[in-house]
Amino acid sequence: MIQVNGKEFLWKNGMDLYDVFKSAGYTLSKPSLLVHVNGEVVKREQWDSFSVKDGSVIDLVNLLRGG
Amino acid sequence: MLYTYYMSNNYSVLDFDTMYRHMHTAEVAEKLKVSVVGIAGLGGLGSNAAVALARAGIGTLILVDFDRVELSNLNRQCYTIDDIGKYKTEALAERLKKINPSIRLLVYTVIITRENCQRLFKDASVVVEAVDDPSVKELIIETLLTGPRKLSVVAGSGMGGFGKNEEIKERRVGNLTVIGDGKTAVAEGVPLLAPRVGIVANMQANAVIERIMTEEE
Repeated sequence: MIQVNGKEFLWKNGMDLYDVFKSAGYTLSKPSLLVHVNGEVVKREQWDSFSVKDGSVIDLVNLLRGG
Repeated sequence: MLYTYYMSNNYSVLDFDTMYRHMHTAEVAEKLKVSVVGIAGLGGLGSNAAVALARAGIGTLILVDFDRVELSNLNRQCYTIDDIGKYKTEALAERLKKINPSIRLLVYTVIITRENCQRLFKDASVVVEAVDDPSVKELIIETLLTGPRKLSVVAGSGMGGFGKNEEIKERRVGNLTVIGDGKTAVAEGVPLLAPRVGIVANMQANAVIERIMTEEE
């Protein structure tokens, strides 16, 4: 199992962060996100190569227009 | 550029320092006075957060924005009709110096990029993310939180429209604090209005002060 924003999801072998977004219901037409895995920021350029381990705690922060 | 304001009345910078020690206690005043806070973007969030932080007695603010004040900013940003056409950095610096003449301002009229972001905020322990464009928000937060130096970022996300006070929340993840409702993006038919933007801006400023007061020595 992995935890995404406090909710549990099934972990699969070989999961990258795009797989995590998909299982958590994120569509990536929603482009701006800040991703923490176990408290550490994972940069966008690493999202497709980052191997998510079983038991990971992932925090996704949506960044919305307006400032 | 370093701004100095020459007071036209009988108060000196020393009077302001004394006032802050009196109003906030010496311990709090001192901690805020030695702190350096960055403001990335001087629109509805940044201009209002900067005013709150200057009033609170933050010693040094780093102000960064590339834009000039327009008429359409006056519905929510901390500028007046006399500021239209001026760079936001310069208009805001003038205002902040009148609020707290003992403040030190580092002012950069530039576009924030992946290349200059670290350098612009190199002296700050906390940065307020206050830009409009979500991809620039991401760039700023990602760059600052993965840099060689430990610092905190206080970002805003979801402040469009009006009402729904109870939905504006603070969320903390590692060294990132995000304030907003997390869902109301600005879009066609969802404008930014002064009260809700101001609430988020002031909650950002409040979170900055909390971070400073709880930082390890």
